[in-house]
Amino acid sequence: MSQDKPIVEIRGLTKQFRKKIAIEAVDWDIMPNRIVGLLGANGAGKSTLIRHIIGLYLPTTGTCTTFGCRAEKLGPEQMARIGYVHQEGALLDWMTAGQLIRYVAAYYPHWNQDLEARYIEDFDIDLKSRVRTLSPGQRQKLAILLAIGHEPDLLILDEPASALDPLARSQFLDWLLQIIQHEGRTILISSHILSDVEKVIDQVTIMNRAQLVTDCALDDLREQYCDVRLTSLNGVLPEPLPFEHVVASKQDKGQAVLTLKNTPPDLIQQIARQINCRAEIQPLCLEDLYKLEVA
Amino acid sequence: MSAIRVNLKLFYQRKIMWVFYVFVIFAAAIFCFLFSDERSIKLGRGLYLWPMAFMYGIAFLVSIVTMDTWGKPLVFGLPGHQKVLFLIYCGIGMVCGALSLTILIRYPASASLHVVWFGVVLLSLNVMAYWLGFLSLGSTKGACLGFIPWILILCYGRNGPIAVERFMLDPLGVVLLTTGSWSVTGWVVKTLLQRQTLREACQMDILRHHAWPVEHEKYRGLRLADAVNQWFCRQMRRHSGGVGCYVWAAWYKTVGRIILGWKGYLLVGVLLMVWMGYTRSIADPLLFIMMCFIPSIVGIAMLGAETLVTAEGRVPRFWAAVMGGLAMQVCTAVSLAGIVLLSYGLARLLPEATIQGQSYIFHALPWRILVYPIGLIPALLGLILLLRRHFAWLAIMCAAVAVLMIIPLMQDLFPTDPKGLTSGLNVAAGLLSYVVLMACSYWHCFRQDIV
Repeated sequence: MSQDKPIVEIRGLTKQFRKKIAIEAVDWDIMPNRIVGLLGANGAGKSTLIRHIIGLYLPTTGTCTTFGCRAEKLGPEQMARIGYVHQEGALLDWMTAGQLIRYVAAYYPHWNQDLEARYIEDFDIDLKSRVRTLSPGQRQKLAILLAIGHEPDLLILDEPASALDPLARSQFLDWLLQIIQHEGRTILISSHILSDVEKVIDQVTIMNRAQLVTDCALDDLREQYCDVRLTSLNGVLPEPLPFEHVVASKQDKGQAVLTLKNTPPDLIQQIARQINCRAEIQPLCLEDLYKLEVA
Repeated sequence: MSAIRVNLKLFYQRKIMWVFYVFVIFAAAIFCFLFSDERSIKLGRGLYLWPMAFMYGIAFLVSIVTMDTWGKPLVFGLPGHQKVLFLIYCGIGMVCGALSLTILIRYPASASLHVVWFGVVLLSLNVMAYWLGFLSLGSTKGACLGFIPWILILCYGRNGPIAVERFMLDPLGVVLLTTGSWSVTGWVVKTLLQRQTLREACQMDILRHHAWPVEHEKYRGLRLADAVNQWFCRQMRRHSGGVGCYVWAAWYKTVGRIILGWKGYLLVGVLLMVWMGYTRSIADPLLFIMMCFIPSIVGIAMLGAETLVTAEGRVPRFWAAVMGGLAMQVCTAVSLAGIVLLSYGLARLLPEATIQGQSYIFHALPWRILVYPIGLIPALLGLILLLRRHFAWLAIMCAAVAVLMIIPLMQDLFPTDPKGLTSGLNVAAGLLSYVVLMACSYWHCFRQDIV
């Protein structure tokens, strides 16, 4: 697989459900071997976008190409390279977990039995239980096993941890870090639990009201914004503060906290010296970055 | 969101509502038959019983189906909860009652006193069935008991409905029924509709799910299901990478599920066969059409309507849908053929039964019952696949199909022997049905969003 050619190319994609526009004129590329976080509020269009990538939805206008093939025409060959965990954990309820694993495995010529055995043990899946009797967390673990067992090149996790309890979610993230470290593949994670995905993603894509508002490396986004705590060394801080690109600010006599965009640390320190105060620069967490981008 | 909308939303989402829809469709078909029956409705012919059974059955089903909906904490938290319950029940009762009374408009010759009595009886039966449904406290098995009186009535062939009809439309019967049903209503409103009772019902439902049946269900028929799973998965692996893999998968999803419930299907089939063999009533073809509706509805999950994503593009999904339809058709036809063959054997063994001085002889079933799966199932599957998210349209289409099947039945157009099954009309109907399935599958798989 060429490293500089995107595995997913979306151009001018719009999806309309009757009068509601779910996705509007989205252009997006997913490069190989990246861990992409697709973030957005409920109803922002994340799942709709994902379903276009695997060809479940047909675009109203525009195109979506996955592995060089129009997504709506994806054949078994391309689909075998994709693993998908559905946010609602849609499985065949009438089978037992063991039967379902065997059934899904039969679709893939290169199903990894060792991996299957390992995850059955790690996830503590009872093979004899009917799928309909499993708890939501167990179902989600089973869905993840089914998506990963054939070692896909593109693993799509649509709200994978939403049904898991805190302990299971922590285990899931450990497991995700493990597969990222050991197996080079592209992973697309859609989630609104930002603290979870922050640990694993290296690219961040933010959707808001059917549109893509941000698509860049997480480190680049972190470099764009910073929090600056200013403490006056002699009394009250001047008003207004002589900073440009202030996104948010709180000022109280001798102290101020600013959120700045595209302002280099050297410049911040220089201005701080000019107004005779001490500046402490801190990076923002993903949740704050997300709020700023969406705002 | 208003209380009534929340209630209806919960109500509408219940999977068991499919049973209710099927019931309504067949009730509509029965009404079509009553409207077209040249004998007209007159007391003493047993035809009044059908609208009565309809009013009873619909109310009974509604109350059973809604039981755990009323027990949900969300509903309890809403203001005017009990009022909503009454609004929904009265609304359904009034619509169904009006529908039933239209029969008398069709037959104005009926005595005017009967019109009044008939209306009162219908309303009383409707009310009674709601509360009997509530008394079952959401237990499906317990609720089945509510249908036993009707089954017993029908077991007496034509005499049963006539006797019951005469009793219910007799002044004494009307008074007894009305007093009884409204007394129960008063008691139910005072005691059963209290939060405590509904919560109890809800808890019983939870208990049923989490205590005995889970363990029971967990390992039920596991060995057989495992063997079937292994066999089909082997076939899928043999055709790995090709369309064959998806076709085998579709067949597995069709047959595997049926095998899980084989005892139930067998029991229903045998009971129907015995009843039909003895009574040969007009309801027989309706029941067999119904037997085609049920697998069609069950089969919809197998035809690409599911959301489990595997290595399946839209083309394999299309072929899987078409071949799944074929599998469903063949399975049902083979099962019915087995029932017919069995009836030939039993016709020599089963004795003549004498009930209330009338003798009944068991006859072998006609081969024409095979016409229904051949003609109906593919088209029904196609329509359900296409309209599965549009219940109103789906119900209209299914009712239309049922009525279209009943008209030729009334005219005795279908053959009664195996040779006749291959007549041009049947083959054409079968092919047309399959064309409908293919067209609907094509539309679903290539022109619509999946999931």
